[in-house]
Amino acid sequence: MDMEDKKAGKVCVIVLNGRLDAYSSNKLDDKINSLIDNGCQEMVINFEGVDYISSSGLRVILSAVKQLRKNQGDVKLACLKPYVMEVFDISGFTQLFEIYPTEEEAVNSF
Amino acid sequence: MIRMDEQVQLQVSGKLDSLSLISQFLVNNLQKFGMGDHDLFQTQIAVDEAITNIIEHGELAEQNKIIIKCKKEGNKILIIIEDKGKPFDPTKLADPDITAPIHERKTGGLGVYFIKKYMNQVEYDYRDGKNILTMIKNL
Repeated sequence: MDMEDKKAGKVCVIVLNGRLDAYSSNKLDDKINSLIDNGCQEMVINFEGVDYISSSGLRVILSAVKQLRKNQGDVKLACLKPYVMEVFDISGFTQLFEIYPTEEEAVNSF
Repeated sequence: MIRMDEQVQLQVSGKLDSLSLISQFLVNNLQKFGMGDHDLFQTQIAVDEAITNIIEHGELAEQNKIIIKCKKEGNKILIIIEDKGKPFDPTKLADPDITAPIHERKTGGLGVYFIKKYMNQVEYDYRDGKNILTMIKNL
């Protein structure tokens, strides 16, 4: 799993590439927590390069959204591929997050 | 070409970095058994969740390996996972409430839920000091 982060105005964007399993989810958890510790309140996660996600990945994203919404922040998701979207769907996660077709739309929604 | 009755097997250590190796093993072999992309994705998740549970909660001794067997029987693919960790029957675990609002959402239980949702049949047995989980996907 490769991940890079960048700023789009005040929004932190994390671009993921690869498999999001229990091993790589720990790395994503560290990345998200370090961005939050550095003051990030508004976050977009771009899933364009993610073709696989297990419940560990969902757990990390759920924990991030709970932390950020407590302080009026949020995490929005972009570019989910169909199989990955199916995982979000059957776990009820599509009801919990704002999901956008493009990174730009997710960033502009803040 | 894999014959109908042929079985393939992989043995891995109980570490999370084994997960990508297992996925590659499934892709290589289940495609040969005739499994399509969507079923393969769902099967990879089910196996991944079962193995992650063993690694994170099974208290597996360092020297003990996890064994993953795949075989085709008629139009069914059987995945059998064996480990010598703590006895754990995932078929007995209650489903999480997937309609709960965000502040009430629990992070546990989703992995086993995926196993039940994505596989057509799941059976558990504890024999000779081993958890034996058999997951079946119909082709």
